[in-house]
Amino acid sequence: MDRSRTAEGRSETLIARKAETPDLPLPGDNGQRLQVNVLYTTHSKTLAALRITSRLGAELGACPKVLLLYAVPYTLPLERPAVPAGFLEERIRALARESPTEITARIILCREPQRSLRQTLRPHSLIVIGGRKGWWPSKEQRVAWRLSRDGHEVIFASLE
Amino acid sequence: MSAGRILVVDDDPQIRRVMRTTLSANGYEVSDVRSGEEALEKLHAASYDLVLLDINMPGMGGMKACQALRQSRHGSELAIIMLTVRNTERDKVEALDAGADDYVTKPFSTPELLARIRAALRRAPSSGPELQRINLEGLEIDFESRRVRLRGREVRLTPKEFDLLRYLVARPDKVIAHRELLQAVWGPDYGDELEYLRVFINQLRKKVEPDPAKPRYLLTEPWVGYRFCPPKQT
Repeated sequence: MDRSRTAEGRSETLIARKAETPDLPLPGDNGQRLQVNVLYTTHSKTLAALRITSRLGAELGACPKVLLLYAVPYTLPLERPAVPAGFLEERIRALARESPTEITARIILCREPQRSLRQTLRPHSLIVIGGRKGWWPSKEQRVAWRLSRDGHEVIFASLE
Repeated sequence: MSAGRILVVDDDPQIRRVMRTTLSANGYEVSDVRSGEEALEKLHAASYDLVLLDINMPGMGGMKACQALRQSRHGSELAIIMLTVRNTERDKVEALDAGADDYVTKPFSTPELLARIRAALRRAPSSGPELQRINLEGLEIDFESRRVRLRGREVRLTPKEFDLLRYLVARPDKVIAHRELLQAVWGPDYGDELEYLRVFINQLRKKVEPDPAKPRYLLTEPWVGYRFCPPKQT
């Protein structure tokens, strides 16, 4: 586990499900594997997203990274969120236990999740977000649209 | 180069042996299996142009096998000839309704069977030009060895990326609908996963296009699908 504080006022924790295996470069890929960012929403919705991601992993050689953005109110110091950091880490571990694929996770404690997400993602990132599709756009659908508008590739994993 | 790849599906080892010998002698590449279940597995692992399918077989039987073959990946491009001792009109109608292209009753003569195979292969949509190697201004694609080189540098494609590229390249200048692409490459259960397809196309562009932001070969037809645009000959 690796904790760090970034210049943008975010506190980050990196968790690997197991001893993180190095990303093996594929010939002709300039040593880079496609990274899939999975946005943590809820346990079940993120699992739906991970199911899609595991298919992408198998068919595209992609490696999944779960991003959990947690908003800390301005009244609290960034390192002391309303819930203990261990609680958030346990959420990720519970997810990793049920995940169909190996994951790396990044917990980001921030003031404004949307802004932090924009700062975290590289341009044209591939993002998978799980959620429900309905006649009225869900919160996750709105996030997905916003990210698409920012130029990212977004796959919406619908929770049936 | 073979005249076509044929899969013989019959539970009788003697018929399989005779077919193998006869068809190989006439320039076909022949594989044989004993049941419909094995045929489906075989078809999943390799591609064939034509299937000679016996109707009376243990297990799923010829009719069900024929329907399953049609629903399988590339099943619509496959020619299927049913072989049987039954020769009533009802049997023939049933076989053709199950998806067979032709129906041959046993005993049959070798010239008749060969003529029917030739006719079925002529009609089969996949029996167009067989792709072996193409060169597109610095991009070389070798379909036999499944290798791609861009300006002399080897590009690694995943099996799905390669299948997608092959499907598009085999149909130059033709707009392929999203659903058709998904079903041809991923199978009949797919069709609505447009975001998924978009990711694969973008990955392919990053690997094979000189400038992925301004694609020259793999073009998007908005709201319809994708099109492979070969470079213009000057």
